[in-house]
Amino acid sequence: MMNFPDINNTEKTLEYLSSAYGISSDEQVFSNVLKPVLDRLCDSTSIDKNGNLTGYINGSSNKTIMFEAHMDRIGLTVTNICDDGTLSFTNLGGVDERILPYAEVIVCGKDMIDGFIQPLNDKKSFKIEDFCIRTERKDVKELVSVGDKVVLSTEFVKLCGTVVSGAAFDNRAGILAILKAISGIKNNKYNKYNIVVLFSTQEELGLHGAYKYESKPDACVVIDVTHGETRDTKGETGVFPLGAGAVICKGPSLDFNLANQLVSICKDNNIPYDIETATGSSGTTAWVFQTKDIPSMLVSIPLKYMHTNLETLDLSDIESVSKLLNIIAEGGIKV
Amino acid sequence: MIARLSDAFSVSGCENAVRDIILSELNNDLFLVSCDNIGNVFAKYENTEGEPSVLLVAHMDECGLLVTDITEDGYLRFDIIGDIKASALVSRRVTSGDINGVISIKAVHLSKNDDKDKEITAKDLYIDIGAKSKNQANKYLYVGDYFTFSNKFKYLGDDKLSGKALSRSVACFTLVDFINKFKGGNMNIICVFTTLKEVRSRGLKTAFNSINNIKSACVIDSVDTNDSKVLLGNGAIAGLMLNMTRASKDINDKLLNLSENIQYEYIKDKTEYEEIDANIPAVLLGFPCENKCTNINIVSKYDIESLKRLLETFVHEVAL
Repeated sequence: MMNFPDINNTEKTLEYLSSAYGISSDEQVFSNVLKPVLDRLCDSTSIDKNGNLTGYINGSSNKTIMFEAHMDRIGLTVTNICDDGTLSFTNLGGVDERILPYAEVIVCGKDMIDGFIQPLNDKKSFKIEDFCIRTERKDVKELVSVGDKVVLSTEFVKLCGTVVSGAAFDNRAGILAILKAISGIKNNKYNKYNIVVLFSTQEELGLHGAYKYESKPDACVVIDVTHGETRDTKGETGVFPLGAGAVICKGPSLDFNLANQLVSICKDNNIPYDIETATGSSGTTAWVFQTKDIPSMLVSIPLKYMHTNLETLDLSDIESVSKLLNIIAEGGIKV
Repeated sequence: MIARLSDAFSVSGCENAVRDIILSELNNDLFLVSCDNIGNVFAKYENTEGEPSVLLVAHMDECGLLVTDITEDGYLRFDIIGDIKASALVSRRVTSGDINGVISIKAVHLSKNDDKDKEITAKDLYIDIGAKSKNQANKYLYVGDYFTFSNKFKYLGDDKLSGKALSRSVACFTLVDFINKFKGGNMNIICVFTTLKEVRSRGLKTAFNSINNIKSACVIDSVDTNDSKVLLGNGAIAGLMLNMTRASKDINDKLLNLSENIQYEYIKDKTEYEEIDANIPAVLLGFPCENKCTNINIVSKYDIESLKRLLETFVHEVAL
């Protein structure tokens, strides 16, 4: 891969992060890309035996706040290499199966192989067995094995204004918000809290990396994505228009006091924000950290078309989240 | 050339990009090149004045989307030109030539179980260009603008071509290639690169205003493997419409007798073939194409080479 771009260029950096692979259970490919960046931005880094990547930045107080984002992305896995060279596959992490017909993919075998998903019949609604992957290569049996991962490929698309579309913005956008927030903290004398950055594994498979995480900060902020408002969800609750800003989650699984502080910070600093609710699980790793006795916050970036190959967001929402995190690191919150 | 033709933006009614490529690629002084008012391109070779000609046809347009409305919140409703299935449109990138858009549906997490299994129709879909209001969208486009898939042309393996609009790309390439290699002969040839094939072949219909005295004709086009017996990689296709005349069948038989490794098929689709007068014996010179009218058409290099030879055979040995 090319060199890591300038983090201040949100668009280029998001494009770079979303072009790296790292499907759930295979995140090493991506943590290899992230570790050198964290090495630069943090005082020290480590990788645990579950693949979780952690960075540490010292602050002036004795309290520690964790910023967490899952680094895996959804994809597919090869289940069979058929005699005619086509590949059968299964879902890994929750890809929206309605997008599969004619989707372009990259098979991560001994080599990166271009392919696409072919519907095998003409049904009105498809099941995953109704598809195969075609690469049209005669050497596919030598290059691909059962269990190999398949990435949904797509180009990074610029739409109007600061809206962009691409694959794996869930959760590369979250990772970017954290990287932007911490760049510059290391040598910043205003930095109050010790910051732990955790990029966790296998979230899409059931929050596994987070469950195995062993340290205990005094509070944590989970950064993930939430549903952007689309034409067919207008007026529904739980969806947020792109540009709404940092979406703060409130509910029993999140710390009540800390969530309220987040709202105040946004108001006082003119950061665009909105509030979403979760009566049970928020569907994120915040659910895990609560039962580890870590007061947790969840801040999300509005994202349209989640779990497809054309997830769509507004870059300004990433900026809003990273501004909020920055203020938290400098002591703007009381834990 | 096929790659450029495939990537070019040329939906029915707006074929400028492909026309420009063809005009820049045509390179044989033996042919007189001209255009009519609706955009058809003609390349005529006249060896003997007054003698009848053989007519060769290839279409320049592709399936696409026509913007019918811009909603208050900045989304685009559209109608389909050609035969694109809704399942081929979900979660695809599209382009108007100037701006990008995406077509998608509400997230799977938000869809109730019934919704997930429901058939998606084109009426349910809309183009998202990232605009947040009708006013913002109007800065970038109008109702009546065209969109098509954004796919980039690619080779897959060592034999297959993939991309959008391969029907017109291979057809136009084959005809341009034929014209450029033609060294002269005792015949008159009229080649037409037509517009509006996807709109009931109105381009070819209009082209007949500019041509006459045709002895026989062929239409170069793809044949959908989904809808017929032909197989990808088994060679070019000598095709006949179901209600063909005796004269057409004779030409087709002669073609098959003179060629090796050619597939034979009755053409059930509407093609430009229909616009050719029943008095003119006509055949379809085809090539197998998979996934027609989606963002990933698949064509075989072997079939293209076979098609080139078939066209030569038709013009030099069968047509006149």
